[in-house]
Amino acid sequence: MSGISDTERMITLKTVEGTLFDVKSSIAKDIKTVQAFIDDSDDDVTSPIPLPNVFTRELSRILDYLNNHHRFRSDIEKADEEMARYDAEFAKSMSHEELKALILAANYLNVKDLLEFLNQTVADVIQNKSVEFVRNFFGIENDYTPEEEEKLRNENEWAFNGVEQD
Amino acid sequence: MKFHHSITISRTRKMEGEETDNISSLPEALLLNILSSLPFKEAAKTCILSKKWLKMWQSTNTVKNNQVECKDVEAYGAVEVAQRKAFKNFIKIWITLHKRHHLHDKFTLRVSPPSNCGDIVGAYVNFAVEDGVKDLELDFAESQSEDEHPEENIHDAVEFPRSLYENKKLHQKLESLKLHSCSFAPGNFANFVALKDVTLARIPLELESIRTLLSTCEWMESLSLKNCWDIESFDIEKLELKKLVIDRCIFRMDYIGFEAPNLKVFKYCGSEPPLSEVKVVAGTIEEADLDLSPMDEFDECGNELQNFLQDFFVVNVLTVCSVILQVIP
Repeated sequence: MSGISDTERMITLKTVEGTLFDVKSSIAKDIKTVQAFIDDSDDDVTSPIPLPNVFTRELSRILDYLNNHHRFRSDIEKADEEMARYDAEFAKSMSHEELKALILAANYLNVKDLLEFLNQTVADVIQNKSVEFVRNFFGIENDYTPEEEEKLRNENEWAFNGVEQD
Repeated sequence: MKFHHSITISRTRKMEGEETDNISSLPEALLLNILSSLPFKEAAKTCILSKKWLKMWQSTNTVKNNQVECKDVEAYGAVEVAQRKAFKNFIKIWITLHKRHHLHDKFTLRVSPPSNCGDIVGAYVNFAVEDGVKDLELDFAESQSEDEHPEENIHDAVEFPRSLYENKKLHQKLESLKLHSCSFAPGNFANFVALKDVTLARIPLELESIRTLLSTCEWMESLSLKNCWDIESFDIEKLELKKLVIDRCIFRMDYIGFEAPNLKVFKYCGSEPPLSEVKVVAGTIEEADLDLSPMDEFDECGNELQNFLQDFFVVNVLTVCSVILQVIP
């Protein structure tokens, strides 16, 4: 981990709405899409890097997440515990729509750890929920006929024979 | 600018070929990631959501590590009440998935199969490892907890799949074998020439079985016995092993005796010091770890303990627990 010094270079990111964010280059390293841009540039990047797929609300959350994780990692003793607490809070604070928007942004920006964490968050949300709940969550339209659905349930009885309710 | 260019490309690529259910939904690649974060059974249930999800489930790489693990313990209950056929499906899908992602080196199966399904497990384990693996772990223990007395709630141990004894690829490749609540025929391992490390756990064992296993696989380097019971004693004249672990096993006669000229590491954990006659060689044995912390009565075992300790006076590193320090005269 690189120590965060006062002289550390800052990178400026620009969201769809045109909001500018200044980011320490050590944080930008974790945002692979941004880092790839920096690596690809011949000169020092001085002008803001445009992120045509990322909205202000999501970028600000992602930077929040990364900044905090960096901070935790610099304090090895309490790192795991605090990080777990922070992550739990972070997961709880999102609505389902926000969660999905954040997954899209994290995927576009290629922030691996965060994406994995968000996937697990979704997995935790939809586990042991009714079929209707999960369809709603993902906005899925049911294209089975009742007969097809029944057949599928019978074929996969072992998966469905647990308790199932809302 | 280079950057704009590359962004545009990746953007188009990401948008291609995505059927989205509606505006707020996620692209399929991301849904697959989520699917693979679910426990096996939960993931399987997503096939009921829509036809697209059925297709995804059929193509999914749900098994994300090199292990097939019943991570959803709830599956146990369901599996136990399920019919034989349902279980067969369950294990078939599981192992087919595992195999499709050709994970060559390690195969772990933790499942508590219904009592009449041992043969199904065997057939599919053989199918899963037919190309050989280095590590094989079969865990048929009903409960995963470490410290309870295993013999109190034992169901019939599942037999080590017979066909595995004849698997030639396994003979050449298998280095580490861990069996939990899995019975085996010790004489049938003669062809497993790469086998170095064996762990036997939660099973009634006979001294004769251990002897046979050791003499059949002379090339074995490490043996661990964990929570085993019914053993008469650990009385083995000549032990070629480099490492021996005896962890909370129940010996009918508390006796441990062996001569081990190659032994480097010895670990013992139990509730009382055994009567011991152990010969190890100074300079060879490096580490002994004697843990008697499960012991609750201290009296009248000082002598045995001292004896036991003395056997290991030649080691470089001796780790003992606080009980020993309290009791030793």
